[in-house]
Amino acid sequence: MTSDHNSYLLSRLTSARLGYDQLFSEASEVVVFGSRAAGVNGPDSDLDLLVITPRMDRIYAAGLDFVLLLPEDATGMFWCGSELASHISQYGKWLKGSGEWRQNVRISRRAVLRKRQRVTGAAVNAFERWSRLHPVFQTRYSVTLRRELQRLDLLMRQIPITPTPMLDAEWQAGLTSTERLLSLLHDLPLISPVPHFIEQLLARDSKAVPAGR
Amino acid sequence: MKKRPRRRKNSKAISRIAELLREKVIDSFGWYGIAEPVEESSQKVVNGEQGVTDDDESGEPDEDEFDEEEYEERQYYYDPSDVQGALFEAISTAIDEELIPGYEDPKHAPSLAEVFEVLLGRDSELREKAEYFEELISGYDDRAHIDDLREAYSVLVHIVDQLAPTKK
Repeated sequence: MTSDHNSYLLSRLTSARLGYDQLFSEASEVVVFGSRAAGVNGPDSDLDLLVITPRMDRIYAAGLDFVLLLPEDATGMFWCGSELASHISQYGKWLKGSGEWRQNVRISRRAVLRKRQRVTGAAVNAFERWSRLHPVFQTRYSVTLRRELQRLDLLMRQIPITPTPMLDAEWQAGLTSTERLLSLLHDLPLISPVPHFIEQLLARDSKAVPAGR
Repeated sequence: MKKRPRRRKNSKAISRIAELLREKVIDSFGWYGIAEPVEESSQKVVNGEQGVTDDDESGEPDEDEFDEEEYEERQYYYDPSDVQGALFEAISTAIDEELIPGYEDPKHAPSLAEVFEVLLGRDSELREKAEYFEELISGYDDRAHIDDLREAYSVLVHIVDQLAPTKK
């Protein structure tokens, strides 16, 4: 599994003319996370990478998504309380380093608050633009909103976020309660009581083909 | 002979798409304080992430609410959903106006790069620029770095200028 990730990473970095050796020599940790780490990726899924490195130049390469973190931040309260840290600590595959910071990971109140704000923002944005969006984009918004609500639900229960394809599979298998997601929406500021259109969003999504994140 | 009307139609479509990108998407960068006078933009940068306030609605004190790391994050990272939504709206209008051949009834939400692939071809430089633009505004973990948003703005201005140069 890890050698597969390494081969894919090498090929993508080579295509982007970026140095694999340089990346690894400078980084104290390189971790694959997301759908590829969990083995639930599609053929077009990006490879998500956490790189703990003192060099913070942002890296762009097709097929790769980098999250860069300074070594001194890796053990900090902010990182260890984040949604992403909880996900990586649970599902990450280490290509380099040992991930000692994992023992400090605990989903913080701030992570929950941020997710609530994200859901509120997505719902308000959808509401404001709804009539001007083509149905395929309405579906995309509804999928985004549903996934974010699922993530909020997990965070509130102190459960690390699962990769997106697993969220979709749970929804399609009927393992996620629509009522539960609606009750989370009802509790949010700005959009309470839940407008009828949001209930329609979740109903629509039950038949929708998953869209990309 | 048959290709001429198609080319003319494409060139009208391209001009219209440039107009939509200018009106809807470039304008949306104003929210982030990009492409606005410096006095206004500096205020928005300090305010930080969309929807973020210093108040936790629960009213309970948060022991690590004002630490330095949070302050840093608020200065540099933004929720990119406004510009993403503006792009969805622009492409929706392009679909409704039937500007993109073959996309009258799309089954998935097309990206700007896909729109350019149809109109300009797979090898077009602008298709690659559009892909880069979409990467920049996609952010990560709900956030996009302000430098990425600034870069995205420049890329989009370049794209629009190439599609329909502004008359001087």
